[in-house]
This record gives sequence, C-alpha cells and structure tokens, in this order.
Amino acid sequence: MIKTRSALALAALILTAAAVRGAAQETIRSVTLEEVLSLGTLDDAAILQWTGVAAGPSGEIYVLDAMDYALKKFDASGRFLKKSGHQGAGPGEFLAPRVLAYSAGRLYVLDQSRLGILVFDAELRYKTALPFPSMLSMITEAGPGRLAVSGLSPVGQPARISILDGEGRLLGGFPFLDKVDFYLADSIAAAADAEGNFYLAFFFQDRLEKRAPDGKLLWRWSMGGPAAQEMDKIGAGGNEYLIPRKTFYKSAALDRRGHLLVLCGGQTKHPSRDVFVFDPAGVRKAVFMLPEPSHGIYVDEGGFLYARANEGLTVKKYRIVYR
Amino acid sequence: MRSFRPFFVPVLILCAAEAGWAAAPRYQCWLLIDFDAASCSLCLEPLLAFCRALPAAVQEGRIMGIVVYGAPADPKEAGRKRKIMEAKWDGFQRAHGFRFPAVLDDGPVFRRWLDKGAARVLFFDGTARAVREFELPLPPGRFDEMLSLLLN
Repeated sequence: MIKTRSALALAALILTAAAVRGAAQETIRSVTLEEVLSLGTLDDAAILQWTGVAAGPSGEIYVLDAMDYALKKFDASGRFLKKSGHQGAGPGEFLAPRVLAYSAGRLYVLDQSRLGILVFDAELRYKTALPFPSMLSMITEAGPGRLAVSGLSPVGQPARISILDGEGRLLGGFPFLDKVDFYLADSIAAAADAEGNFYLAFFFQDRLEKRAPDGKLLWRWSMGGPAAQEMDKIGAGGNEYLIPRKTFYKSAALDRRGHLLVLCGGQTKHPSRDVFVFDPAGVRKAVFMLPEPSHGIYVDEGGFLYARANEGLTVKKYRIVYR
Repeated sequence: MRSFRPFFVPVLILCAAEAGWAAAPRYQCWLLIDFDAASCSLCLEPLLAFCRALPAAVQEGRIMGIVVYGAPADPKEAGRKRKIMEAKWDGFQRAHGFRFPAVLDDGPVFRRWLDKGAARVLFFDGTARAVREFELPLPPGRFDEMLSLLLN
C-alpha cells in the first residue's frame, strides 16, 4: 500500500514537473472561460457577500460569507449542504471573516477582527484556533498540511512570510520586505507551487515576485507606468492613518499547468477583471478578462477557476481554456 | 439640526405609504443605510447590532429603512444592480432574523447624509420635522431614548 502511494506520489510529481516545463515553453494565443457552475442566485440568497472560496478533493466547495458570518459547504454539483458560524467572538464564530484556505481536509479562516487562525474540519465542525502573535491578512496552502501566512507590519519594520504546520507550529519563514514604507505596503496575495516556491502579488505596489522556499528572490515583475502610490487620510482626532489609494493586484493563483494567474486591481483597462497569465519564469503569456469584477480568484486542484459575480451574491466556477 | 421639511414631507408620505403606516404615529424613524459600505465589517457590525435590537413593535410600524446604493449609469446595469441590492437586503434580513419595511434609493439626496458614516437614524415628528439625528453606533443610552420616543 505504501509502495503504491509512493509510486502515485512520484508519478504526480513527474506529471506536475512536466506540466510546469510545458507552461514555460508553450505559446498562448488566447484564454477563455467556460462557466461550469454557479453558486448563489438573486433569488435564493444562499450567499450574501462571499470573501473566500476553496474546493475539497471531491469537488465540494466551501464559501466564506462575510455578510452572513458563516462558512458554507456546497456539493460538487452546487447544492447547498450546510453552514457553520454566527456573528461573535466565541469558538467557531466570526466578526469579519476574510480569507479561506483548504489543506489536508481542514479549512483555515482568517478573521480581520480576531487574532489567530480559525480551523474547521471538512464538515464545518469548529476544531480550534491556532494562535499567532499578530493579525494575519494572508493564508495559503504551502504543500499538504502546511500553511504560509503573513500579516501587516508597522511602517519601518520588515514584513515576513511564516510557514506553519497544520497545528500552527512555526516551521520557517523569510522576510519579503526589508522595511514597510507605508501602511499596507506589505498587503499581499500569495500562491505556493509544488516545489515550495512562492509567488507574491502586492496589493498596493506595482510588484509581482517569485521567491524560492528560502525566500531568495527569483524574479520580479511590474506592469510599469506611474507606480507612485497616492495616499488618503482616514480617521480623526489623533487616530489618523494614511492609506494607499491605488490597488495594483488583488489575488494570485496557480493552475495545474504551472501558470501564475494574477487578478489586477484598478490600474488596468478593466479594473478587478483583467487577469495576467505568467509562466513560471515570470514571462507574461496572456491576459484575459473575468465576466464580472471580482475581489479575488481561486484555482482548484482540477484547474477550475472561481470568481465573483453579482457583487458577491454568486460564486462562478469556470473551466480555463488555453488556445 | 438640518431642516428636512420642504423636501421630505412628500417623500415621508410616500415612504410611509409604502411601509404600510396607516395612521401616522407620533414619531417616525428612518434608518439610512449605505449598503455599498456593507462589505466593510466595521460598518456592518453596528448596523446589525442596531437592527437586531429593535423590538417587533418598532419593526412592524415605526421604522423604515432607506437602503442607499450607487447605481451605474447604464439603465440595463442599473436594473441589475437594483435586483442585486434587493436580494442582498432581503437575504441580510433573513439571515439575521429581523424585518422592517425598506425602500432602495440610488439617488444623491440620502447619499449626502451618509458622508460621515455608513448608517444614520433620523427621527421625524408628525409634521415631518426632523427632531433627532444619530449616527451608528449609537452612544450609550441613546437606543433606549430612541425606543422611548417610538413606543410611547
């Protein structure tokens, strides 16, 4: 049994490596999306304002709904199965659920107003809260049962990615900014490939990066143009903050062919809709457009892309067609 | 306190009719909500706390929601946006166990009152004179004062 599993794992690794090599060499003339599934309609209001989505190994789909303060599960055909969570600060409750990740049968939720990582099993049963000393803003799977996380650092401080196991134990990490120049400069989306490399997309800087597992910079890309960040002042009475106005990138995901997909923010022709496609070497191969603006994209193990529709009432699942 | 009367008398009558207010109570209350800001959890939290705390007697005849949102210029898109906002507002009420009459508004008039916050409560007397204006979250004691105005 163990030998069979090892052989399967080796075969999967070889296939993934071959696919990644293929991605580096191929020419993409166009990318189109074919809708295969839609969750949540204007009539059923099964979803009110989703913020995170993830898929399990059988095609089940998990949706984090910020306006319903709930984690929801749908089967592979899009049928609503169950939900978990309420507004609150108790076990399994949410105040501002924002980011969702799936790894090895567990769901990991970041809540903007709660410290740590909330953990649920695949049946949405709350398991525990993994402690973390600072507020986290990014979480992504970095191999089965491994998570990469980052938070927001004070201006002037370095920004780090930390690697945790599924129990929250620190396995390693690396700095990705020596110094945070302005508030939210370290806001990122990230994706990890099968070799442990990280792709980082900076929300408020014109910067995409690929980093080796030890943090070494492998390449950096920017779209060019005026990159200077304009700032808005918010707050009053001594609690004033300068926050960046321009969003450059919003989300990053890897497909199973090794392409990096990056959802752009407000600095491209179609804000929150343009998606750049890169090969693993950082060469931009194509651009395609989502049918509707989205706050994020997610790609499951089958290579299907998920994005927002109806301003958060709907999750759309698409097949990505490369030509 | 700003004077609302010249503009609001007809609007208040129309809204009251839409809300099914048969006999004018002594005071009426409008809850102005910037629903475009509802994706901001810090804005959503006080709104939800306020709505949940409203007793049934207030929800049934003393308060009306004005759900303000920004509409696109394209009429086709504007119609779709309205359906989305209706679905969200209905779903939001159902999910959190409250329900009171509300109208959707994509115009600039109510939007102006929401420049300082995502939700405001306005009180009118029987002559459509605005007598109180609160921003959510309400300061301590204000909610009880509000209920007292509405129920007594």
